[in-house]
Amino acid sequence: MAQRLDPNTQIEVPPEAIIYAKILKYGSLIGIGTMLVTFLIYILGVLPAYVPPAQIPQLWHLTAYDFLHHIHLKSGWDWVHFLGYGDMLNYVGIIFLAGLTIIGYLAIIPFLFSSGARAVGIIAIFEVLILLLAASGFLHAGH
Amino acid sequence: MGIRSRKFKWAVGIFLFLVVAGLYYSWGQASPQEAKEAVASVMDNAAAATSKPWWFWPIALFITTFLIGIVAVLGGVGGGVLFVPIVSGFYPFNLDFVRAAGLLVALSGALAAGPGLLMRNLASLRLAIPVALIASTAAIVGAMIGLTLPRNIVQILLGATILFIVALMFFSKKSEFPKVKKPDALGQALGIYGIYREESTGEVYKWYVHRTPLGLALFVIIGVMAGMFGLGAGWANIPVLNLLMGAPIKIAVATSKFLLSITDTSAAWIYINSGGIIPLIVIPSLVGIMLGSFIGVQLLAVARPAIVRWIVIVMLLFAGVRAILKGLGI
Repeated sequence: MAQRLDPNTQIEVPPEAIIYAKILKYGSLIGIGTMLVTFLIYILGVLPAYVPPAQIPQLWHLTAYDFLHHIHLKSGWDWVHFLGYGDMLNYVGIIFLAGLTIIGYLAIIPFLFSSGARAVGIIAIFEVLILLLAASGFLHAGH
Repeated sequence: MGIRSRKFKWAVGIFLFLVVAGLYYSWGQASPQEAKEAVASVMDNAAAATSKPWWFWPIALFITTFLIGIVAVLGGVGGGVLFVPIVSGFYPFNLDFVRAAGLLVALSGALAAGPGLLMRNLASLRLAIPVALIASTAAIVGAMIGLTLPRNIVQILLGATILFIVALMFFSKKSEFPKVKKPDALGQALGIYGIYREESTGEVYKWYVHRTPLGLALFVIIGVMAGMFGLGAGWANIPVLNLLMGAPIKIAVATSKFLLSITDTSAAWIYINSGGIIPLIVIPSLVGIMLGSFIGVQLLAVARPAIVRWIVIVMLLFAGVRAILKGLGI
């Protein structure tokens, strides 16, 4: 059973939780806003498309690996070279959302150490390394 | 639980199974030949997909995910767990793109909910950070396995997992304040405890966890499944955090939601880097789920949660059976 305390007990939100919450709050707004804008740019044809929307239904039955092969794109971060195209621009918002956790962790690690949570701080460093490895593009799969 | 209540659950379960089996039979076997061919072609044939204008699909996806968003909130499940089986079962997209979109759907939901849960001291960083390291590492492995295995095998496993989730929703219990006689050594060493105010009563509780090593070990399996199927993993996180490790239910639910933002991130990166992103699928799905969730929250006050939960169970049952049949090529 959880221990019941005096109802007047002051509950303080740890500073690392406040920092992380702010990063998630503003970061997710920026990420989703970016995705919406870049999607409109893509479907309205404001910029040329690397793969026009009309061709996508002929390709989405392929595996991800075959899809990349078919559109002559390499796995990993190759899309960065084609940011002048509307569809590739959509990756920016998606990547930003996927990277938000790394930003949040980097921001709270100093607070974890200063509050005495050294073990959790070390685990957080390992988490950042794992996420950076996943994001690096070295790890990909499919055939 | 009383014997009558157990019998009632079994009776309802059998009834639902028969309803779903009947639906499938009437849809797949007893419908007119033309309708059957049309449905089959939309499901499996890329050529059929191209017979419709490209803009049909994002609009259809938006409407579907909008409804999923409403039902998910009312049914108390994550959007990802409904999104992947339903969209992979009834749309002509390869499972790779659906799983990637499913992870991003679950990720966005977790990112949006995270700030509120952290600021109310419900999502615990001390609990989430160690668990997340295990789950996110395993999710990377799961994503790589899922992208390597033949898609029909993944589809069958996905269907089996969905049916398991249905069973879990049907039978699992939850405990508001599980008994934790003594925090275990690892939990203490990692400082996994917290204080929160139960807003309905105004009371303040200090909580601890126990069985931390076993809990962390189970998150290996949960992470692999989350990465392999792109489902999110709230359905598995919550029972482990609550029933096994002893976190109060509100802490378990909130920390689970927050955890998804870390677990799904690592798996999502693998799908992104492996070419699993098609904006025409991802963006309408995200927007649809988010707007649907917003409407779902508004409807919470008037909806009857028990009925909605049954609707979710039936939908999952139907989608799970459909995934297995699709994987078997039936």
